[in-house]
Parts: sequence; C-alpha cells; structure tokens
Amino acid sequence: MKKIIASTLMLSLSFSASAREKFAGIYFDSSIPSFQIQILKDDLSYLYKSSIKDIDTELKPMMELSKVDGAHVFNWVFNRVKYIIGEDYRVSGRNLVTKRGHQFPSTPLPPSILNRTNQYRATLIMSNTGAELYLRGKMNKVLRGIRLDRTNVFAPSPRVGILQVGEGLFLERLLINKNIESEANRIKRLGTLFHEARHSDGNSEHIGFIHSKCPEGHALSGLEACESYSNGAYSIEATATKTLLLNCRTCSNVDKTKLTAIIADSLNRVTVRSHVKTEAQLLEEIATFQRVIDFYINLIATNPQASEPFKKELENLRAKIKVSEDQLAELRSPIKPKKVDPKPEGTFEEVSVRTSSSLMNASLNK
Amino acid sequence: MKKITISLVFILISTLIFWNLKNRKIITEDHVDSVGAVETGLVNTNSDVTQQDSRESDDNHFEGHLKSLPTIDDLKNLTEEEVHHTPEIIKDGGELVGVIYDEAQKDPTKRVDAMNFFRKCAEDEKVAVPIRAVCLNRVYKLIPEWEAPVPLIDSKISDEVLDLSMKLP
Repeated sequence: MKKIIASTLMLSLSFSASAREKFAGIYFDSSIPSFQIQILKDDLSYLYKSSIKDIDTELKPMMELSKVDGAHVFNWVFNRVKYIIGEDYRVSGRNLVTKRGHQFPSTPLPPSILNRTNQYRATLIMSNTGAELYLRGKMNKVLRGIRLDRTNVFAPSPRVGILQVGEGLFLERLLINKNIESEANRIKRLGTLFHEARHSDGNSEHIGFIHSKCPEGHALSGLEACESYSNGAYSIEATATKTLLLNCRTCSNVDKTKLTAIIADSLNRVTVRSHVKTEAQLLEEIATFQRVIDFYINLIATNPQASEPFKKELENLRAKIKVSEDQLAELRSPIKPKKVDPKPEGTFEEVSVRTSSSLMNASLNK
Repeated sequence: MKKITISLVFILISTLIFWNLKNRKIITEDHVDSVGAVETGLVNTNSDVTQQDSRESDDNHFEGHLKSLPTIDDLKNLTEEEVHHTPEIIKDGGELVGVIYDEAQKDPTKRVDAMNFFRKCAEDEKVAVPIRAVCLNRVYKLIPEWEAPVPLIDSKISDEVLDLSMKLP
C-alpha cells in the first residue's frame, strides 16, 4: 500500500511539479511543467547525438554551418535559444522589466510591425518572446526584458533567445504518433524549435525574420503566415525537418508521410508571388473585367441621371483590373525568394561549438 | 520455302499488332490523357502491372477517403493563431495519405487503388496544396517501386504543386 501511495505521489509530482533548471546551458523556467522539460531535454540530447548522414543540400548554406553534425546543429540552436519559459508565464506586470537609455541600432523597423499587436505570442505551440521583446523595445526606444529566477533578462538583440513553449507542442492530437517520445515526434518538435530559433536572427527590415501576409491566391491569403525569404523560419523548419527525417531510423511509413506533409506546408509558405494564377488566366480575367467596364462606361454615358450606383461599381472593377494587371506584370518579371542576411542586430555573444558541446556533455554526464 | 517465309512474316506481323494493341490498352485505360502519360514516362508495360491496372474497379478501397482530405476552403476558415505552425488538418491529411501508403505497401493488391487515390488527390484543385504535393510525390516515388502506372493529367497539376512535390523527401 505504501509503495502504491509513494508511486502515485512520485508520478503526480513528475507531471505537475516543475522546477527551474539548466540543461546544456539552456535555462528552463519553473513555469514549464516538468514532463515538458524532460521531453525538451531529451529532444535536445537527441539532436546533439544525431549522426546525420543524409543531408538536405540546402541545410548547410542556410544555417551557415561549417559542418553538419549533431554538435554543430545543436550549437546553431543554442546560439538562438537560451531561455525557455512556459505557457503560463505572463510577459506583463512584474515579469516585464524595462530600462531607459539603451541605444538601439538606427536601422529601420519592418514596416508591417507597426500595425501588429502581438506577433510572436499568437500561437500556443511555441513562440519567440525574445524577438518580440526586442522589437517592441526598439519601437518604443526602451530596452525590454523579463524577470527570470529573480534576475532581469533584457533583450538588447533578438538573439537574447527567449522562447515560450505551449502545450500544443505536446498535445496528442498534434503529434505524429501516440508515443510522445518517439523519434518522429522528436523530429516534429525540433522542426518547430528550428523555426522559432530562426526568429532570433535578422536585422533591419527583416529583423526576427518576421512573417509576412500570405499573398492573394494563397490558401492562407491575408494571414501573417508566409515569408518571402529563402532562408527564413519556414525554410529552416522544412530543411531541418527534412534532414532529420532522412536520418530517422524508427519512423514508420505513416510517420514519414505526416512529417512530409509538415515539410510541404512549411515550403508552401515561402512565396514571393502575390498570386498563383497563370498568365492565360490573368489575361482572360483582364479581358472579362474590361468588357464589363466598357459596358458600364457606355451605360453611364447614356444614363447620366441614374449613374451613381454604376460609378461605384465601375470604381470596384477598375481596382480589380489594376490588381490583375499588376499580377500580370509581376508574373512576366519572375523573381525568386531572396536569401537575406541572417546576422542579428544589437548586442549578443556567439558561442562556439566547443563551448555548447561541453555544456551539453556536462549535462548528459550528470 | 516461299510458304514458310510467308508464314513467318504473317506470324511476325500478328505478334507486332497484338503487342501494339496490348500497350495501347494500358495507356487508354482509366480514361486518362494518354499523351501526357507517355510524355511524362508514367506508363509501365509490365504485364503483371497490366493485370493490376485492369483490376481497377468502381469499388476502390480508398475512394471514399478523398472527401476527408483537407481543402483550400478548410484552410481559409482557420485563424492566424491556427496557421502559424502547420495546422492540424494538414497533419491529419498527411496521416491519411500515410495510412493508405502503408496499407498498400503491406498488401500489393491495394496498390492500384492507392495509386489512383494519390493521383486523384494530386489532381484535385480543391485539395490543400501541401497535401496535393505529398500525393504527387508518392506517385512519382512509387511508380517504379510498385511498378504501378498512373498516368497523370498534366493540365491538372499546377507548377506550384509540381515544384513543391519535387522538394519533398
């Protein structure tokens, strides 16, 4: 009986209790449930220990790695992820700290950020709070940070590396299979980690590699869920997931296909076109609009007394034909997604592979 | 001697005609644009495959699942929060394609039906682009592996779907 009580107590403690801790040099806040901490630690260990044999050719240049192996890839993550906080952590009130007098780089802000309310806290799966703090701070010319373990952690660069993890990353319905510790699920979570880590990079107008609105014609048109860079968060997620999938030893056919769908979804977000129509479709569209416009012009000319509602319609049609003409012009001058400078702005310290590896080894040997 | 020569020529011509008709049957089956199929090299003339192909029936094992694939309209109904990372419906769609792939991998009698499912999924303009790309990727990967010919209608596969499928593992 005693044993049962003790086991139950242990089990409940392992699922509910949480304590701040450091693993491989990364700070895990007490706001993260302990089972999530354990899974994330195991995910990072898996990444570090990975023997990566098959590599997507895009990975090395995209991540600017000198070598593709577990230690180098982990180092890439480590330089962008230093603190992880839980879903219940509120970046407000006493947790939010500020400091005046900080000199931010005089680079321009991304134009779209000015209209945004809360870019990086939109999802409950994972978000990059550090980049958000830096951007908001730069916008308001006040250095922002959060209080962690009675210490103020300021964001003088998006590279401060504060990620917030939500329960979505661990929910069974969002997993690849039912075994939360399976290799396939680790790959899926690590893909998300790579995505968010990339938001710690970038400068000037592409600081944080922030997402842009998906173009007209895209299924997610109008939502901030696309990017026009070839080395942004969605590209990194797709390429890293693909590389890990290629090296997966235990993934089933279903796991592989599900992960492939995630890769396809990420790659589908990388888009520079403002539409997905063909030239023939656009020409037909323009001709159709033009015929209706001609009709209305004629109608207004012959019925000037009843022309008011038609004028409005004419205005709408002219706007539509303009959109189609712009799309046609864009289609006729093809452009590819550009690789942008990933160097982060502000002050930060780049950690060597040797240092991050020794931190990881120290944690693994504990 | 003359008679033997005439008989041999006759046999040769008959064989050629028969062979030609047999190949044509494979190409035109499944009422698909045969020109596109030949151009894309998707026709397999293996006789076992001919048998498999001719077995394609109205009673396709997987036909009903096509309706369960996520559509562009389904994606349009999602919020910004739901689409920052891959939406659940895309993962579910990937799972469905994966389950069909797995079933057919284990049971070769289901391969023709599975291939037709992948083809219809890849060609369906209403289905979400990432899932169409996964289906097309499966078609190209599995034609040589399963020796199952699935002629595609080129005009129904957009460049976007094709490009995306080529980048997948």
